[in-house]
Amino acid sequence: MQQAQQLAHEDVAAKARETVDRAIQRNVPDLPAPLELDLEVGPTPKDVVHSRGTMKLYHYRPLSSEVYRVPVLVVMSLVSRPYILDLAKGQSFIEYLLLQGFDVYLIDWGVPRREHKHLRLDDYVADFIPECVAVVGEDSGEPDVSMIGYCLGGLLAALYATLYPDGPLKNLVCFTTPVNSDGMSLYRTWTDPAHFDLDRLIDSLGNIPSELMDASIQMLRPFQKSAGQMKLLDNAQNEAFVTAHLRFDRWAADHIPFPGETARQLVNDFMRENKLIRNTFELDGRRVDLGNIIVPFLHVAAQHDHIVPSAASQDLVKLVGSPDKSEIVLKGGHVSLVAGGNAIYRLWPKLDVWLSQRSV
Amino acid sequence: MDKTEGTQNFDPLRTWREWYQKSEKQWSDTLSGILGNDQFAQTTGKYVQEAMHLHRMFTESMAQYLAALNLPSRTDIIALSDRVGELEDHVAGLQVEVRHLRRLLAEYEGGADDAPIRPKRTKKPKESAGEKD
Repeated sequence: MQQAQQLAHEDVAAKARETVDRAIQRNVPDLPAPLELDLEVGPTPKDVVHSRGTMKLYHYRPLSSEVYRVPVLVVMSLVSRPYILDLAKGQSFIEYLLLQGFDVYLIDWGVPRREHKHLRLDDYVADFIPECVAVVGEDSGEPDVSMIGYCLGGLLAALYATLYPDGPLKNLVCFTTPVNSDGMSLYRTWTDPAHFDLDRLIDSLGNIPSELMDASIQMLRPFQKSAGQMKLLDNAQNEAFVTAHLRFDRWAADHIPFPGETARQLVNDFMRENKLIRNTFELDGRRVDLGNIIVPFLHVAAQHDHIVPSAASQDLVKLVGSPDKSEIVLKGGHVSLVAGGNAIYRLWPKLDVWLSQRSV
Repeated sequence: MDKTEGTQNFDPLRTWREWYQKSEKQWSDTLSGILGNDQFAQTTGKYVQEAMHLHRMFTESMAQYLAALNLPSRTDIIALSDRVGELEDHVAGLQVEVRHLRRLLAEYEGGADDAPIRPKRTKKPKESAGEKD
């Protein structure tokens, strides 16, 4: 009995040594690395086909000899970097679309600098996106385009669709897109004008710093990060898990500043006054009516989304005017929906079926 | 007994970690309930304003010390980062131009060897995908 205990203790000690050794090897560059932790992200080959300021329009090189007629334009959120959609080979939404035969373009908004603090939603929706749509048309030689927007990118894409109902948009897909701020109670409370001086913050800082953006997202689910670290510890021996986790962690910590005037507009018009639902939201001097979206429309929501809860997004499909519209609610959270290990079984095939039918 | 199993049985913190992971959502919801009340928002709002004021005072005073020591301040580093960003944007613009010129050249020469291959846009949905849902 005593001997068995002694052996078990030795096992624990050996495992502990092994774990520590691995941790050291990972963090000290000169030591031979047992794990390939060269965390390259965004590995799918692509070309910049258009650029303006920090914005870049990428075209991903096709991975099949035959593609669907209608190209796909992915509109990324302003809050985070787009490589979440192309984390690694085999863990990439973009790569999946290419392998299914879609011709994929992506708008990367880049990292706004002080000189971009004046950019408003109007600029993104009525200037940058139409410009990119035109370039996609010219580059692909096709008159139509499908759009996929993720999170705030979904809102940008939906707003674009309301302003340009006559085309060339052919299909619209929005992932976890907020339209009703009544469903975002925490943000609503934190930005209440009674105790949050937004104007002073933006006038002083220009853009909202990335640290503040990160903190506000962390506060929505305060213990999630520490629980994730414990899960990492429990799976320290699983190299695939560790690599995927670190890659994901890198993205989660890689927040970008938010353009000041866009923040002012979103907090005042969307968060505080909920103008989108009340049909009083204005862009580029025009009233935004989600009923103007008449193209085939798909909204995908995540069951456990704590950033854009279903209460904030479920009205979108009801308000859209298209006769061909649907919503899918899938297991997962805000990010795991599109980039998690299960996305390849849950979201991606469903999107492929829906979009391929409408891309010829 | 499997060696791994034996080790796992002797990890006294594993059970606690598993419990923490399982109950994380409840803990987060509880704390979010506190963070979502007006009093917290009021306190945070005040804190942000005061932090901004202090930050500005501190930045201004530190800038003088750092300048005296011939060291860059955060503002200097951000300015440098902005310039690197501008350079990246210009490089992207050049990449676009080069790509455009290569395409023109390929068309002029009737297809250069290194011109990107344009796939046919004739793909049809899989039959198993069924009708539009």
